[in-house]
Amino acid sequence: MTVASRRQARDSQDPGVVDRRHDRELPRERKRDSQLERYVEKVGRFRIFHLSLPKDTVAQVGVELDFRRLRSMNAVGGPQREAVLAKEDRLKDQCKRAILLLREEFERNIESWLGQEPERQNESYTPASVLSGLRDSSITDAYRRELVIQAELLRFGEEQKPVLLSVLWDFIRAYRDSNEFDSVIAVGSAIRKYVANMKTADIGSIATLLEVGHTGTPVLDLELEIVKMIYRSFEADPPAKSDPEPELAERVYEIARAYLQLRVLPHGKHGIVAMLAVQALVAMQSERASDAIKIVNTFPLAHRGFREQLWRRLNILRERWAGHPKAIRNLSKLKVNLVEN
Amino acid sequence: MGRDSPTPMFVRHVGLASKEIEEVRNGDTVAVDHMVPPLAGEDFGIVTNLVGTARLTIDEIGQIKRFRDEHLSEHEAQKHLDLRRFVIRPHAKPLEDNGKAVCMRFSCVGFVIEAYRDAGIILLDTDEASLPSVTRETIGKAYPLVLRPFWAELNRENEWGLDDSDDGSWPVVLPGYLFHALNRDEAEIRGGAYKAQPGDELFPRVGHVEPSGARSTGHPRPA
Repeated sequence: MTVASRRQARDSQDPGVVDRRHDRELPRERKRDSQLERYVEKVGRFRIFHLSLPKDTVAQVGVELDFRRLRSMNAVGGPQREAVLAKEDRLKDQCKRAILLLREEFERNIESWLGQEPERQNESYTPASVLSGLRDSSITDAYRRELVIQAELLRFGEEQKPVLLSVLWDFIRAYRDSNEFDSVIAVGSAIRKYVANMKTADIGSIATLLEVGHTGTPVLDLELEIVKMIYRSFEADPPAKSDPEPELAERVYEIARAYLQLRVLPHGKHGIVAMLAVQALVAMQSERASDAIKIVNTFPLAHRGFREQLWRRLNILRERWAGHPKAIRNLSKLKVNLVEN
Repeated sequence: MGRDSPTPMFVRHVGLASKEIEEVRNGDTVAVDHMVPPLAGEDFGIVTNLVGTARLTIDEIGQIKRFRDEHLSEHEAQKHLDLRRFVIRPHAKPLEDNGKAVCMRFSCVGFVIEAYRDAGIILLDTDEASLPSVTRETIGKAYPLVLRPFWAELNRENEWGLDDSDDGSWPVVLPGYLFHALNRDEAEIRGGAYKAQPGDELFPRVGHVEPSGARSTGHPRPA
């Protein structure tokens, strides 16, 4: 399947919906195999483009979902059970073969992506069309996510920004508790665009996104985007006074304190979220920065890499603030000295 | 990990091995973190023809992983080839909105160089004054889109950095430079940045190909 035809396929149906029309054209005994093949293809495509699931998970997910019903039949005894198990083995083999095919397809795509004409996919999206679409309450969730993602790389005029901020904020609030991977990705995209376009003086309003207890703990991926964009905002626009957003700083410090633990730090994205949270506290010139640095300074020698990386990043911040002597002076007042190893 | 172009010895694509690998043979598919684009983490892998390493410690691998995690989410949103998240010159440049970085753009070699830099290892002198100037034809062996008839329009739309040049050449970081940088003593790698020489887009520049294995600058551990 070419990139173009894949795009066409994606556009023609919601990726979360299995196309049943095809099933009606197949003999009954082939329906299950066909479903599995298409499911694995779908999961594989998800894997190729979202690029976040380990490959073992792809196989596992493909097998898991399609065999759920077979497993429920495992309570059946005798020859019927053996038949079920044999069928399960056969389908597992098919699943493995499908995964191998996906790997070959991926290799072909690498060549294609590196060497052929690109899709001109951004031609149909303009700032005005994206804003118009996002204000339309009748569009599907999938299309709304697509518009939000497209918005991230478009340049909006000053007169469009109030509407942009409004629709992005509505989207973030509506989807931040979603349990769907696609929605979390789109909310992350919306957060980056929203924070980049808001005035740094208004950034305190995003503290509400970091509250625990809304409908659950904020998703780690969204915490990553929020603390990253807080840092990048103040990196580009140093605070005129120390600790301009104490409430936001408190929420960020909660994250830093929770993840700056040696049993947590090496796993998943906790390390980078903790790192960016400390960077954000320093960039905000919050009193909490020194509390976070104190924790980092307690790390044993085996974890000195975290401290060294943080130190390099804070030095980059100092370099970027070279034209802001007041910010540098305020920074030096904070007790953010990392211990030497 | 590196992949050859159809031109002999010309390194076309590079990425970071996602996991420690004991042995790599020429043509093996190795799981990588790389800039396709978009940036892809723990990917199915690329066919590998070259291996380079700086003998990273576990701690340094952790730092590189944190760097990857920071930027990966900025690319996950894009399901298709997106040329706006890619840059050729310089090798890494943020896409900004109101002066604030929204998404970090890399070339394939730029992602590797910046990941190492964030871990405290400066592999290559990327100052443009230190880089050899290379022609569009040479750049096109690594990034074939610049050989297309409409390349100038793509360059302008996507801000790849190949703007007007007096002599039709630009100081671009090419994937091959990475392997010359890694093809030094460990102390030398950590001691200072490699200064690319004209012809370094080929690896080796002058030498031989190991017949049975991927061309290697050292032990096949994560690049």
